[in-house]
Amino acid sequence: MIEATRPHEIRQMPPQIKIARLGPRLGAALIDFILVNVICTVAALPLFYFFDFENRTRQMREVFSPEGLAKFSACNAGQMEACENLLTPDLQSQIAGVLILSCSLLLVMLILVHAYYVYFESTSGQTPGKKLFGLKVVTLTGHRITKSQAFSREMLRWFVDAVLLIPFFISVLSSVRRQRVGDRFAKTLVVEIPK
Amino acid sequence: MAKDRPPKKSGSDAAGDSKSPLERYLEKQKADKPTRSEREIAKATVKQSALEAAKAAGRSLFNSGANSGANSGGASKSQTQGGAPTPPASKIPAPEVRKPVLPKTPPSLHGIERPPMTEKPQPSSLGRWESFGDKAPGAENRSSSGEIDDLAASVPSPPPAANRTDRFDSQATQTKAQDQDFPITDSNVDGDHLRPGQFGARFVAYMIDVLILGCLSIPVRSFASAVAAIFFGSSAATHALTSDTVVYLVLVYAYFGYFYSTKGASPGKLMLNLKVTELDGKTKLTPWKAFFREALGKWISGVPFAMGYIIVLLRSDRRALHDLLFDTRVVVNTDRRP
Repeated sequence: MIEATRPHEIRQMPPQIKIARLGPRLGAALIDFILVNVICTVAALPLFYFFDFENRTRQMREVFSPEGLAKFSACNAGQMEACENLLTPDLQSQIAGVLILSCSLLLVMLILVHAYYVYFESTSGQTPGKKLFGLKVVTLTGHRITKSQAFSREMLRWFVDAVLLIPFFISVLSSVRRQRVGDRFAKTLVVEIPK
Repeated sequence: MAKDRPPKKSGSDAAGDSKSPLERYLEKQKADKPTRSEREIAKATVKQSALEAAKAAGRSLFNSGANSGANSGGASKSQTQGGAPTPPASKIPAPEVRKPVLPKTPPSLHGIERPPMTEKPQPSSLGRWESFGDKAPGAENRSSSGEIDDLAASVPSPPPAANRTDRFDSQATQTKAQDQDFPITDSNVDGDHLRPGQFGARFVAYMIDVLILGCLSIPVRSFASAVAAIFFGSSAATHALTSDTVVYLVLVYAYFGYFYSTKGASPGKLMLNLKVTELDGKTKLTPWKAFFREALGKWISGVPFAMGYIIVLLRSDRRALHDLLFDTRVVVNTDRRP
């Protein structure tokens, strides 16, 4: 006769702590996503004005307007007079400057997004969205997670779990602790805390 | 020579004569290769003892240095004063200071004695959980923690994580010794005392059920269509009502609804000693729940590349997507003898 119980699998638990359900997690993720977008927009606006993108991109917009593009195509077709003043050194430097500025803006936004998640998850374990839904990120023993854990969660959030949410669903449904891929990698859990 | 051999064995194997050779071999192997957690504990103890020794050495050094400094200062003073030096006055307290600094247990640097598993520091079950609340733990928390400690004493201590069946979560379980008994559980994990039905058995059971249903559906459909033709005439409505899908769905409701609600298992599952229950592992399903689990739940499980079924292999509680959707589980029936 096979034993009905597996004593090594009986784990004691304080009854008030539960693994977070799927709905609140998705809701918290959505709210965090919206918040991050708002923060990035608000942070980007003064940068746009500071770097004077309006004036910097004026010449480029002329180049990429239909007339400018027609000029390009004419040059490409072989009309030599259209090829004059097509890519002046001034325009080249303008393009380079705009590229550098947009890259730096993108970098600032990326840092903002990652800092948002890493800061909130490594300090209180609750991003604002998670706080709204009463969720908390903890280690397997129920402690606060470290910065490196939060960072790996954050990286896997965007590069693995967010890919059409397919890895997220497969991982969460195949785990009894409802861990997503980032949770498995960083050895963390998302739990529901009673209000 | 033969007489010399038994004493060569360690003292713990003194009663080794009564044991079988296999047991002795296993013991020897265990002694040679300590498990991961034991090795970690040994490492930790060695580290701690070394740390204590270093601390003691540092303190004693510091103390002696301070004393020597005081001595030298006193000596120079005494020399400048020209009076008799007073080293004993400063030297006498030095050993008194050293005595409490010395570690209680001297560090065993020559041989590492593996401590038994029972000496593993067992953290109080709720102590770690106090970090969840931002407020300081009150009197109520303490009382509840006491209750849970009493409860924990009655629960058998879990063996190392190697015995765990959760293969996909093995990375998470290969953590420190204190992380091994993972205290957070889920409503899904509550049934861990139950023995889940494994994938192969469930697959075979479902194949048997499908075979039976297929064999039933042929005469039932012909009979139904004949009866419908006799009573209602031949029309599009009667053809639709006696189509394969409708007949199969009615059959599924009758078959699974009846067997799940009365026997707790379909004939195929009865053959393989399985039963379908609610999350508690006892309650039988209602007929409608059984029907929707079979018809809708299994369809949902099958659509995304049969992912709902593949999940069974990855979860330790062996629940498929249709089990998750309808809060059911398939367990081994322990009431009947196989």
